[in-house]
Amino acid sequence: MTHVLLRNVEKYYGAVHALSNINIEIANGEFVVLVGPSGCGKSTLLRMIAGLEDISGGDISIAGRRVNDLEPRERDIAMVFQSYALYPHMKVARNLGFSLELKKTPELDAQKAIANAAKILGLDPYLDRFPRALSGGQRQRVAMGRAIVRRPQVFLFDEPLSNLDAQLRVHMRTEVRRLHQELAATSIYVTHDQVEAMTMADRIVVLEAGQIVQTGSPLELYERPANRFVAEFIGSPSINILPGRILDTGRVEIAGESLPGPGPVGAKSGAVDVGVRPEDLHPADDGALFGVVSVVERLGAETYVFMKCADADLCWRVPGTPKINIGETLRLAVNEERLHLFRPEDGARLN
Amino acid sequence: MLVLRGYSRLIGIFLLTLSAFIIVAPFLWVALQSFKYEIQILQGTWFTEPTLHNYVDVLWSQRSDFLKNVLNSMIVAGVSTICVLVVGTLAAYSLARLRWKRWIAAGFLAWTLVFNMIPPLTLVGPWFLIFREIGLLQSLFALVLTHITLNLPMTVWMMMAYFNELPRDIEEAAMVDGCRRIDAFWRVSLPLVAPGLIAAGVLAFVFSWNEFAVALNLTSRATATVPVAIAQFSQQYEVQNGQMAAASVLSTIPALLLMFFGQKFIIQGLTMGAVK
Ligand SMILES: Nc1ncnc2c1ncn2[C@@H]1O[C@H](COP(=O)(O)OP(=O)(O)O)[C@@H](O)[C@H]1O
Ligand SMILES: [Mg+2]
Repeated sequence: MTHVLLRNVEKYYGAVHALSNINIEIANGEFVVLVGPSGCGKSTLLRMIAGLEDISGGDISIAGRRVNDLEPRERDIAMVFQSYALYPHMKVARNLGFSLELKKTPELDAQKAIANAAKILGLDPYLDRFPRALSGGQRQRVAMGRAIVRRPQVFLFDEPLSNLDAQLRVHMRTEVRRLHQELAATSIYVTHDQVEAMTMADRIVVLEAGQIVQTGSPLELYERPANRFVAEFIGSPSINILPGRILDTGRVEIAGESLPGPGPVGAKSGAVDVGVRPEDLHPADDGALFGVVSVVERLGAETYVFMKCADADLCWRVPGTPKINIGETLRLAVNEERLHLFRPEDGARLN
Repeated sequence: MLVLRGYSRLIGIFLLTLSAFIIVAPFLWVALQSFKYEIQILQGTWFTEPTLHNYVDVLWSQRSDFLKNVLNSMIVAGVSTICVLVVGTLAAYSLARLRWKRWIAAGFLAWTLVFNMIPPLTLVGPWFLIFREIGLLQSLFALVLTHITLNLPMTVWMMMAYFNELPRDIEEAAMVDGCRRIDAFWRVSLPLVAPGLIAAGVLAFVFSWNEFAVALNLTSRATATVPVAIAQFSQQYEVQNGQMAAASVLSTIPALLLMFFGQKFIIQGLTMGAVK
């Protein structure tokens, strides 16, 4: 069942076209992540759903109700801000219960809701404190608690974890997912961090310069990126892009060596950008890629080997800690069934 | 924080003492006179047995209206301060938050500055004529209006600094939580700028309390404020130095009290946005 529907949504700031033709359907209980580089319009889109920005064109509906002309308070949504935006002059308990106070919820019910949220988030010991007496992580929890207490139709998150240190961020990532499983509430989550998007999302919407470039599950995006931008944005370390050619025979050629396997069909001959994930390489005596190792990063569980090859920097991801030294010459072959071919001019996918 | 050592510390202490002395000395001298009889003041005697005669005379004698003057000043300063805070805060909020066209906001702010740049005395003449025409001359109401006009710019500027410091997110969170904009203003923004309200309020009150030029020209004997009354102790045939000194000392009490309790907020207010 569709819960949040965005149809042909547009946003102009004066002459600046910040968002164009945004269409998203979000099902009940789905966790959708909007991801994209800084300045691509993620926050703007989220704030339009929240009612904090005017909608220049198109329609937004929540739970079957067109909300274009409704105030934020009439949309039955909750939002977690990047800055947390706690009320500095209210204690944690009142911060949590402020929305209920405004709704004139009976005192007893409100207290129950606050106690419940505090328990879920482990905020019990802090209910009597002011926000300024909390650590960053605790403030973040209060901001989440404020949203939970509401029991809204939709949760909106605008980069809620980006002010936390790396370790806490990883922890909160799972925490947010766990909450989502418990509450099963429709959630729209904005982030510029592709790892966050990959680990948390049911479905990812990738934005670039105010336009949706691809929508899909994390694995779909990883395995079949719609263009070079998505391919490079998703995945860490980033995908290798090598200049190549499609020959008249339909075979692919990298670094002047035609790949042995059957060439991908359906693409016109000519120059092509070949995308190879770092894990889709393996050593082979007759491999097409050949270069000198320049950097070796050992992470324990896996090792990243960087080398210069065919005028491009190549990263090879190897499980474990193999004995590879800087300066060594390597010959690698690609897993041909996992190649990504992009048109050099506009980056569109060819295979 | 600047820490001075050695010679520079001595010089620093000397300069501080000197400036404190320059500021406080005249006031102490006046305070000293207020405890002397007129004849001792005229003789220039330095130390005498203190007397409260001047104070008793100022406060309770038949020919002194001092208590009435204090009441007038209280009314004028109190009412004008309240009005200035209400109007100034709302104007500042509007300028800081609502999306006014740039030139409208800039024009408004420049216009308010005009009142701070020209000496109030240039306005007194026109005001005198205006209030005479509409029959408000020598009323407290007229004086309140002029003090509002004079105090509003500073209040708007100061409150704007406070509203600009307040993150928009907090208000937006309140609006998502269920507030109308007016609720968000009343329940969230206003409590958070309370220090600004106190600072601006104290400054406006003290200014109005001390204001002399306009009050002198627009009031009568019945509506005279404290500064006007103090000046009138010095008349053509007689100067009541002792009473004047006593009245001066008394008149500083409210301002001193307010400054004492409000100074923390005032320093914060005047330097708001200066350091980030
Ligand atoms: N109030 C505004 N006026 C003009 N342009 C704006 C305004 N807010 C955002 N923009 C522009 O819209 C684009 C998207 O901004 P934003 O949604 O904040 O990006 P993101 O959250 O993805 O980093 C940016 O290019 C930004 O410059
Ligand atoms: Mg943003």
